Amino acid sequence: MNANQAKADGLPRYIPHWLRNPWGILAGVATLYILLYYAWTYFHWGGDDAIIFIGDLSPLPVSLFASLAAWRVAADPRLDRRLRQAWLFLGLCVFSQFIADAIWSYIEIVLQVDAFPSAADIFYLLFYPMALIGLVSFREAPLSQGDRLKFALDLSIVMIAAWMLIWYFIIVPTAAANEGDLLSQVLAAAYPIGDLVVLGGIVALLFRRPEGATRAALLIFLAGLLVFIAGDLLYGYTSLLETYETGGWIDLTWITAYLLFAFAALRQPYLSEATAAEEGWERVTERLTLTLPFLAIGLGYGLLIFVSLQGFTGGAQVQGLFIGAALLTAAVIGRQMVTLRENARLNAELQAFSAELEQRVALRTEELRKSQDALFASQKLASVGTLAAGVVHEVSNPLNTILAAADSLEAKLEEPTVDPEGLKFYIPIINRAAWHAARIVQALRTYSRGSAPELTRQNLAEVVDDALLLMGYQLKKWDNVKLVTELDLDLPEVVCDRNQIAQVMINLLNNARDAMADGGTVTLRTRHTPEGAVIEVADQGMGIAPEAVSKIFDPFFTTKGIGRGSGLGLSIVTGILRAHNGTIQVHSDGLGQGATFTVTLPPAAEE
Amino acid sequence: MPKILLIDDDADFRLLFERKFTDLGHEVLTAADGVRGLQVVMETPVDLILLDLNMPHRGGVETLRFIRAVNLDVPVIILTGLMDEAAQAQIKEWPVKNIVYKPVRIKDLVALVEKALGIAHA
Repeated sequence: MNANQAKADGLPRYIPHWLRNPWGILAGVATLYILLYYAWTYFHWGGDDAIIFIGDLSPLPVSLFASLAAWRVAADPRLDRRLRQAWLFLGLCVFSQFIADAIWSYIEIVLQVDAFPSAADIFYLLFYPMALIGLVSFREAPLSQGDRLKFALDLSIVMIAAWMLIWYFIIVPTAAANEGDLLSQVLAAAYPIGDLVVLGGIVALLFRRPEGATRAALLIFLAGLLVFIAGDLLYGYTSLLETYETGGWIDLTWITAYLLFAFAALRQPYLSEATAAEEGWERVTERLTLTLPFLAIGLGYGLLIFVSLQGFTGGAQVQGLFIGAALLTAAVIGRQMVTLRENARLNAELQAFSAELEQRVALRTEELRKSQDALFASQKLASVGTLAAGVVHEVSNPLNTILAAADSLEAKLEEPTVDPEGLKFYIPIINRAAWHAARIVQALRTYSRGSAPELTRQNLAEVVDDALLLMGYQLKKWDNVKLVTELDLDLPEVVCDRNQIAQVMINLLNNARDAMADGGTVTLRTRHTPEGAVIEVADQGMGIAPEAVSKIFDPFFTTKGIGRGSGLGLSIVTGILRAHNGTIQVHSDGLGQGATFTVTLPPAAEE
Repeated sequence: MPKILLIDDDADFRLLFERKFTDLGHEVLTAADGVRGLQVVMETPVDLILLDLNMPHRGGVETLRFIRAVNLDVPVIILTGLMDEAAQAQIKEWPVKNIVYKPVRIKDLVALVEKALGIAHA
């Protein structure tokens, strides 16, 4: 039966999917049985005579059920070979308890003699190797070499501390209590040592994290093992104090452990993802596992302090503790060294990585700068192209005028009666046109210099005039846009590259025009302020959204349509102004409110 | 007496042109831009138009389009320093007599104008 079919079987919702099958019903029966056993432990129905009888026999069905459940997993052909092997041994370890309990019951109930030591101990002790083989058969996440060392040291820390506790409280006193009887001594010591071994197996498994699919089942099993070990140790301790009683509360531990083993076995075949509750438990376990070494260190040294407060009586008992403490210290130091080394390595890796990152950033920046330079250059070439077209037109006009005037003069001179007054008409025309052409050529000469900025003292008013002259051709194409100039003729001298400042103006004026698809007025203002000379270009266009103000000077930022703006104009402007120690600011009251760009150039130092 | 209209933004050239062609016995009208040029065309029938392309307040190409809308047949001589590809493509749609690039010798211009007006020069 699978989980999907089981959903319709009317069972309460809190029963997990892996229990919705006949084995789950058996587990439910076993749970009720154990609850009944708990109640009996409290009430001891049947009187004192029945205690040994009930106490000895009660665990038998539960351990048998648990071992059968484990073997069912071992026989499941769908599962991994190693997983099945693990469950075979886990089944064997529980089954050995069944046999031991049966022998023990036979000796105590039928033969009515003391069952310790006896053949039952052989089977009781079989539990530990079987459990350990089972545990190590589970597949674990593979570890790197460094992790393996850390794992070994963590495990050692926990095991040394556990050894110290068991040594002090159980092994030495038990051996002392059984003085004179070597077999009893050995057997009594064998149990806590077996517990220690299994505990090692549990901790190792927890540290190494079992595979996801087996984790849920394994956690239940480990819980069972811990309950089992707790029972063993409590039994050992109460035996020493001679307070142990068959059918008492310590017996509850083993029977509960068997039930947990059974549940673990029932969970195992469902390799599906863990439920939310299981994931929660897994997280808790993981966190506890991480704190385990610290807990162990605390317990180990805590025990040492406890013993020192007792006044160090007890020979071998205390010597063992000191050896344990020395080993614990060594393991902790070793663990610390591993961590330090690992940190150093991580740090070195991190540094190498950040150095590489920096290098890559530098390289990328350099690449970007290069490509930007190239784009600047191409942008400049493009504007030179438009300017050249403009210049052709502008120069052809005065040349045309000069030629026409010269031709007319010539014709007049060939007339029979030459009127000198009539001839004078042509002279100022020729003069004006020639001067106009000369100015254009002069401006172009400045503009066509190399790309390296040539910073010289300039009268900014002249530079502004040049730029307007160079733009003459373009300005005429501004059909619905009017350029208004408010020029301060008394501008200070500035140190600048004429050609680049002209480019700044051309870019700003073109931007202003482009911002006014529906027409309007562009105002070009120049003025003199304490900070230097100010060139201001104000438009009545689309304005700038507040969020775009900070981006507007970035390269490639454009709101013009694809193919219309390179997104470079303003970043070129910024670059040029930076080279001039100048600044550019933009002000806009928002979309549709127009924009004003203010360029400030510092005045040249007094000569 | 044939009427010639010159639409050009170069004031000095307008002066020279006016004097030259007036001397030659033509009636000369001038306008500094396309808007004013079109006003003249609409008020006075002219026999020939010389049109500059690059002007503020309505360029030559636009002006030509308006002229053709008002008076289909008047011969037009384009007089320009530079013509970009877009202008060339647009000019093709409205036939013109000649395209003359500045600078031009005034004698050549006189010859072209008189040829366009159908005046055989002696």
